[in-house]
Amino acid sequence: MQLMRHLFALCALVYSCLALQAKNVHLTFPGSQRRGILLGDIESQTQKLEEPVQVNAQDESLELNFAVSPAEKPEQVELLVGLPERGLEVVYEPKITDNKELIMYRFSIDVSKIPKALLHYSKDDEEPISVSMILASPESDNVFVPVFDMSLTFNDEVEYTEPVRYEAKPEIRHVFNPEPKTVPWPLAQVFVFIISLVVFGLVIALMSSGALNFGNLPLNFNIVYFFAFIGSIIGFEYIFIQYYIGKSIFETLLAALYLGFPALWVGTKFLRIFKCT
Amino acid sequence: MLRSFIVALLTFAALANARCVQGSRTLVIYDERLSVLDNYSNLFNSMRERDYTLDFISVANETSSLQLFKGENKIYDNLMVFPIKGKTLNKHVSGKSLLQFSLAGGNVLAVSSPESLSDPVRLFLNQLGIYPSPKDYRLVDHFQKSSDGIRIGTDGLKNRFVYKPYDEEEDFFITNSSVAILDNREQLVPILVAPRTSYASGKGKDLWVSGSQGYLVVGFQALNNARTAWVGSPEFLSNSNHQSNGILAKELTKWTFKEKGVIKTNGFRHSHIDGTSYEEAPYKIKDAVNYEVSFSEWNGEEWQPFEATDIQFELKMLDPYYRLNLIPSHRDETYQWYTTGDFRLPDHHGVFTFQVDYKRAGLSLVSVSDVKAIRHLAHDEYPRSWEITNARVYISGIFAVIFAWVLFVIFFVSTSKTTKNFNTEKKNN
Amino acid sequence: MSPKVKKAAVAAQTGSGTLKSKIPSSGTISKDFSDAFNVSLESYLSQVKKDNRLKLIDIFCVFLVAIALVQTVFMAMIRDTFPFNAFLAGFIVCVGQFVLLISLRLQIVDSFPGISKNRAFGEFVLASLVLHFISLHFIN
Repeated sequence: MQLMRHLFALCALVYSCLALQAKNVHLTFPGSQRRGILLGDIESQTQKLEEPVQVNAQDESLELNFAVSPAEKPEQVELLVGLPERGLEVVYEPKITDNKELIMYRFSIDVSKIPKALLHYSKDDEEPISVSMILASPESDNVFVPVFDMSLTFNDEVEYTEPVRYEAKPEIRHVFNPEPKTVPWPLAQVFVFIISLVVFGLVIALMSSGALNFGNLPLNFNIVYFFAFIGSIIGFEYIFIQYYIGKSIFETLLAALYLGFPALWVGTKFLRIFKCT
Repeated sequence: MLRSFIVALLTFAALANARCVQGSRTLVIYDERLSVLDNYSNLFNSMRERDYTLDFISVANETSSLQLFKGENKIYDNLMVFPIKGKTLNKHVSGKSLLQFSLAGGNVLAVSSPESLSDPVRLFLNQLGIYPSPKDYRLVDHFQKSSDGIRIGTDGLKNRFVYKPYDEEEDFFITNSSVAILDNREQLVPILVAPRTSYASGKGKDLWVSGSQGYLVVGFQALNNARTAWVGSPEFLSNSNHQSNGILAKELTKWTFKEKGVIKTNGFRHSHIDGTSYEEAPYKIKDAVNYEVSFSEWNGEEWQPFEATDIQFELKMLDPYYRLNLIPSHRDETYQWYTTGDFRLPDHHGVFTFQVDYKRAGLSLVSVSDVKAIRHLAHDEYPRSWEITNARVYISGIFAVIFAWVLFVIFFVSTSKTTKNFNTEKKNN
Repeated sequence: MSPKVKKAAVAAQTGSGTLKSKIPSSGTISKDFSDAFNVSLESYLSQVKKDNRLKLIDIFCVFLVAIALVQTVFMAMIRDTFPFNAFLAGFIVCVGQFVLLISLRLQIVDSFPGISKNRAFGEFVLASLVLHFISLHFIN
C-alpha cells in the first residue's frame, strides 16, 4: 500500500515535469490605475479566476504576462477570447521575449479592438467573455484552460449589425389605421331630439311672431298656382330625398327634368301674380 | 445494330433513373502523379451505384485539350477536381472557365491538399469567398490523442441539410489538410469546422488561421443554384478513411451534385377566403385573403413533400406590409402545401407583390412572386351616412333645415307685408 | 335704408354726444352703449314692424344659427370630426341658407336696381333647392 502511494507520487512528479506550465501569470491594466492581478502558475488542471475581471470602459486594455522555461518551450501559445457557446472566438498571439533563463510571453488585449460581435453578444446575453490559454507542443501534457472571464460593465451600447444570412426574419403584421369611432346611438339620439326641438321652436316662433296672416293668399283661381308652386317645391325636395335614399343620379336627373319644366312654368306664372312688394 | 440499341436503351434507363435532379455526367480531373484513383474506389463505386457516369481525365499525361463546353452547352453536369501539381491544369482549364461552368449551372467538387492547389481552382474558390491556406500550410492540433490525424466530432458539422448525423458519437478523421478562411457571404455553406485548439501554419511558422475560424469542408450555393464544395484534404475522401468519413463523403457528393437539399415549388395560389379568385373579384383594401404555396423535396429518387417551419410569405409594396410564417396545410404525394391562413390586406391601395422567397443555407433557393393591384374602395362601397351614428345628427340637421325652409317658403308667400290684425299690432308695441 | 347704415348713423350721433364730456368715465361709456343699443333696437323693431316677412326671415336666421350651433357642439363634445363630410354638409347647409336668406332680406328691404323683388324671391328658391341637393349629395 505504502509502495503504491510512493509510486503514484513519483508518477505524478514525473508527469508534472513533462507538463507545460505558465509561470508567474499576472494580469495588468496598462493605461489605468487599476492594480494588477496575480494568477500564479497555470497548468492543465488550474481553475480559472473565480471572479470575472470587470471591464469598465471600452478603451480599457488588459495585458497578460507569463513566463515559460526554455526547456519546455511550447510550439503553440495562444489566447482564445470569445464566447465558446456561440462558436465565436478570436485568437490572440503573444509577443515573445526570449531571455536565456525564461521565455516571456505578453498578450495585450485592447478592449476597443475586440471584434464588435463579441462585445455586442456578451453585453446582450449578459455572458462574460471567456479567455482561455493554450500552451501546446506535440506529445506533452498540453494546457488548454480558461484563465479568467471578462465581464463588460461599461454602459455604452456596442454598435453591431449582424451579417446577412439566409434565415427567417421576424414576422410583420400590418398595423391598420384605427377604425373611426362612433358615438353610441342614444347620445346621437339626444342631439337629434335637440334639433327637432329647435325645429319645433321655430314653428312655435313663426306661429307666435304675429307675422303670419295669410293675407297674401290669392283668393281667386290663382290659388291653384300657389298650390302648384308649393307642390313643385315639395316635389323637388322629395326627389332629392329619393336620391339620398339610393336612387341613381340619372333617374334623379330625369325626374328633376320632368318636374322642372312644369315647375318652371308654374313658378314664373305664380311669381308674376305674387305680390312681393 | 443490336449493340447500339442496347447502349441507347441503357443510356435511356440511366437518364430515367438519374439520382441527380440536374444530370449525372461527371468529369473527374486528377493528376496521376498525386492521386491514385484506386484509393477512392469506395467513393466512386458508391457514385456509380447511384447512376453517375464518370469520366476520368488525368492532366499529367493527357495532351489533348480538356473541354467543359461544347459550343454553348456544357458537356458535363458535375466536375470533380482532385489536387493537381504545378501549373498543369492551367493549360486545360482556367479559373474563368470554372466560373463559367458554375454560371452555366454546373456543380464543382474541388479537393485540394496542402501540397498542391492549382491556380485555376484557387482563383475560382477565391471568387466564391473561400480562401484555402497556401501551399504547405497544414492543420495542426496538439490536443489530439493520436498524432497522425485529427478527429472531429459531430459538433464540427455546421449544416444539417448537407449532413445530419444519425449518431452523435460519430467523428471524422482528418489528416494532412488545408484550412480555409471564409468570406462573410450568405451563399457560403460551412460544412465542417476546425477544432478550437487547432491552427494552420506553414513552413515559416506563421499562422494562416487559428481555432474555429478555419474550415475544412465548405460548400457554396450560387444564386443560380449551382453548387460548389471544397474539401481541404484528398485523404478525407479516400478508402483508408472510409470507416469514419465514408458517409459524410457520400453525403457531400450527394449534396454537391444535387441529390439532396434540392427543393422546388409547384407554384402558389391566392384568393379571397371564400375561394373567389383575383380574376373574378380583384382585391380591394382590407379584403380577407389567403395565400398558399407548395414545396417539394428531392430525396434522391423522387419528389416528396418538403417539411419546414421557417417558410415565410411577404406582401410588399416597397416595404413589406406583412411577413407571415407559413403553416403546413394539406399535402399530396409530391407536395406539401403551406398557407398563411386568412389575413386582411392592408388599408393601403397600390401594386403589391405577393412573394415567398425561401432561401436557406444548404437548400436550393426558391423564390416565387406575383404582382397584383389592390384597389381602394369605390364610391358606393363606403358606409352610408345613416349607418354612422355620428352622421345621423348632421343628416337630421339637414332635414331640419329643408323642412324649415319649405315651411318658411309657404309662410313667406302667404304672408302679406303689413298686418291689419289687432293682436299683432299690440304685440309689436 | 338698410339697418346697418342706420346703426352707423345712430352711432355717429351718440359719438358726437360723448365728445361734450371731456373725460369719459366708465359710467358714461356703459350708458352710451346702452343708448346705442336701445336706439338700434328701436330702429330695428320699427323696420321689422313695417314688413312681416322680415320677421319671418329673421326668425329663420336665428333657427339656422341654432341648428349650426347644435351640430358644432355635438362635434366638439365627441371630440371627433368623423364623418367630416357629414358635418360639413350639415354645417354648410345652415351657413348657405343663412347667406341666401340675408341676400333675400337685403333685396326685400331695398331691391337692387333692375331686379324685382319677385325675381329675387324666385332666385332664392332656386338657389336654396340647389343648396339642399348639394348638401344631401355631399353627406352621402
